[in-house]
Amino acid sequence: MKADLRARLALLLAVTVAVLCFNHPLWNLGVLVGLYLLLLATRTPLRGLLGMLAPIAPIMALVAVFAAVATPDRILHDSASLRVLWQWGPLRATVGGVMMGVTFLLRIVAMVTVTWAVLRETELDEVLDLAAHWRLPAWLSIMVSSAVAAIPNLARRREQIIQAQQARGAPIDVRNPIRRWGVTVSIMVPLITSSLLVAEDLSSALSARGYGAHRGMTKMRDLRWVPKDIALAAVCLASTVAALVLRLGLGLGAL
Amino acid sequence: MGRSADLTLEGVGYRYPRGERDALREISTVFPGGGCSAVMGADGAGKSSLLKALTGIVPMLSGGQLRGRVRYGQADLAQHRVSTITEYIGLVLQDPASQVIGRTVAEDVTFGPRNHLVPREEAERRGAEALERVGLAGFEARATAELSGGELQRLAIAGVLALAPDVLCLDEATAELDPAGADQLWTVLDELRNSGMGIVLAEGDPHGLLPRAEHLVVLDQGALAWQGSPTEFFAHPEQAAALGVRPAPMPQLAASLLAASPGLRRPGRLPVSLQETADWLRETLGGRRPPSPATDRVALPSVPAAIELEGLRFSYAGGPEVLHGIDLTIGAGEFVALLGANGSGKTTLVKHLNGLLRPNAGRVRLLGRDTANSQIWQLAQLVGFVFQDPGHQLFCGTVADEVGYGLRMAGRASDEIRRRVAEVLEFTGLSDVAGQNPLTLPRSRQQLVAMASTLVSRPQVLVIDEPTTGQDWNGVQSLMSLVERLNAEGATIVMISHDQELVAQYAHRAITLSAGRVIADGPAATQVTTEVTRLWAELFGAAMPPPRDANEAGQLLAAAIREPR
Repeated sequence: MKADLRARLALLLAVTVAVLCFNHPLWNLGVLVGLYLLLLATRTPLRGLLGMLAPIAPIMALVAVFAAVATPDRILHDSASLRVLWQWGPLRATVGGVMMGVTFLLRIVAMVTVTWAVLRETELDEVLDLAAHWRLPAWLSIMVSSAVAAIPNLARRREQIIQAQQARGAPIDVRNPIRRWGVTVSIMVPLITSSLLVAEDLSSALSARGYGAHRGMTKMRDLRWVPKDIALAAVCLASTVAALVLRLGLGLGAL
Repeated sequence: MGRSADLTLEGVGYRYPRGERDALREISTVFPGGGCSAVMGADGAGKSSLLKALTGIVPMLSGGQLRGRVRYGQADLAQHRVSTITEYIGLVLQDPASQVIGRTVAEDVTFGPRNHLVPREEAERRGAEALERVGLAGFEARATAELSGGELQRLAIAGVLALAPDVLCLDEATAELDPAGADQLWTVLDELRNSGMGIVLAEGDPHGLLPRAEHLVVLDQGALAWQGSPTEFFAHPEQAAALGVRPAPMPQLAASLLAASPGLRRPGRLPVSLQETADWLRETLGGRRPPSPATDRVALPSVPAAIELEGLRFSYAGGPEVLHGIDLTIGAGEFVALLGANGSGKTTLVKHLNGLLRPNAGRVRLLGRDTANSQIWQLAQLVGFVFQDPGHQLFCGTVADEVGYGLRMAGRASDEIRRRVAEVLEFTGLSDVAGQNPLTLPRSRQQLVAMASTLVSRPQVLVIDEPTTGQDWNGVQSLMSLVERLNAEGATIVMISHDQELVAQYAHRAITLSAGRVIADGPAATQVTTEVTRLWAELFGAAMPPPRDANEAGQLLAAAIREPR
């Protein structure tokens, strides 16, 4: 999405507020469809998004299933929502619970998509310029931008760790939750250890490249706020206000 | 650019805040200005800490107290901030991927000048010039996430060069590069040095250092074990090996020849360069020619085949094809090396052996079984993988638990797990650390733990990815002697390596890949270029089959000397 960082941040705000306001799956679906239409309209190539969503698909499914069986009756307000679809011992899924599960699923997909769309083309300069424009400290923008730059490296390490564990027999796709937990630990421990080493190296690399020599940095480009950005930001802010009014003022979009 | 000043260490000692022992112990030495110096030593000797002390990162960033003094010219580094020091003394760390700061190459390379408030146009010019110097001109708009390991290494160097430092310190800069990439880097360093820049290198391989470095510092457990001319140091191969430094091949060859020829007059100093050795041997041999090396190690594909690839094609999702119809047969019990430049498809190819990747077209058969019909965990019982970085595997509280992980995942009985873990710990020499946390061990022993955790499943095929990366020479020797024993017991070995000497020494056969195609396949000694093969070609012509390593060369030359003139 080629737009000014401020306009992209307005989009992030609008989607975040909307998905958190509404807990009805149809309203969340509406937000998600609107988001994808916007991405298509702005000719944002969706290649790469699937790669972000695929690894967390099992977690999303788990969250949805958990919400379906664990949503308390007290937050479901009508009898249709309380209708039991399935019961097995103490576990039971109501219509409202399943709808809540779908809502969680749609929320996660929407949040991952909008975060990906905002960050995929974020450049160090944009963050620095915006931070300077908003008078934020330079260390904050460096922290954000170096974290963004480290994401591909960490993703690559994660993939290498998964393959290393698979190569010695770890059943990555196992469904048994206890064995699944064991596999997750076998990935998370090396990933955390490796991330700490990356953080240490990155801190040395920042110093070795003169970070902190002065309070600021040379600006390599200037923020460009063109009419297209104004329009996008205006639509996003209007949507944010609308979501708040619809949910809090008119009580719409709730289960 | 003028000649850089001397870097002087006066009784430098240092301990990391939670360290159990000193990382540096009272080191005094001078890295001459405008020259090329090297720091060598075994795993944990203190090489990286020393380079960080030269740039103030130790102790200013790492914490703790530095004893003694580090001076650049007359300036005491303790009186300056790291960001000021690094304007004069640049440091490139070991892992290039973790030094990436920018999302694009242009962003990354201009980061240094921008921190020093260099004007926009000047920062762009410096960035472009630095990229040009390392062979990355035109890469400005490329995303750093899309760069190969070799390209990232060059970008890390360019990022520091853009600061225009007087001295450049590099920590294992050639470790991840293929031979062509390493040669290119050495050319860059030669140019920088000719322009007056001082170079300080921490390196594990003497190959590139010997013709360049004037001053060598060898560390042993943080202390200065030796300093002086690299030629003097490497003329004593036994001394190098004792300090965990990889010996240079030519003095090894001379020592092997002298040991096998008691009557031969020992030169004042063992020859170190190829030319010195060739001159000495011409005089010593007096026209005699050595016999051809034994060919019993050259095993071509036999029956039964351990690995069969038929028309293997593969491309990553949405990307171009990276393997273009590979046909290959590897016999059971062979020791095969996979060679090729960074990005030629070696790792992609071996990941098909245990199903980590599945072919887009073609077939992979392992021990007669089509891998398409097997899950990864099933194939893991047949194919063991030893990856470059053991840190990607280790997570258990003890070495014994770590080694038994694969068996637990396969659902084996606890008695069997205990017995097999004990066996493999004994085989790998890790019994003494069975109860220790693997992450507290030195890197070379972590690699052995990773290998043990693979061997416990008794795989019939073992794949080893770059056994020398991040390992000291003693670690490589321990690992390779285990691999050799496994091969002697019948295991099929597939080793990916850029280390031509290692390939010549251990592999029977070498297969070279280029851009996803097999371009050469034959006996290892004829597929690689090492100092020994170059010496052989110079002395006896290209038609003479070369020996596999310096020791064998010494034995063959001794046999020639025993012949009457």
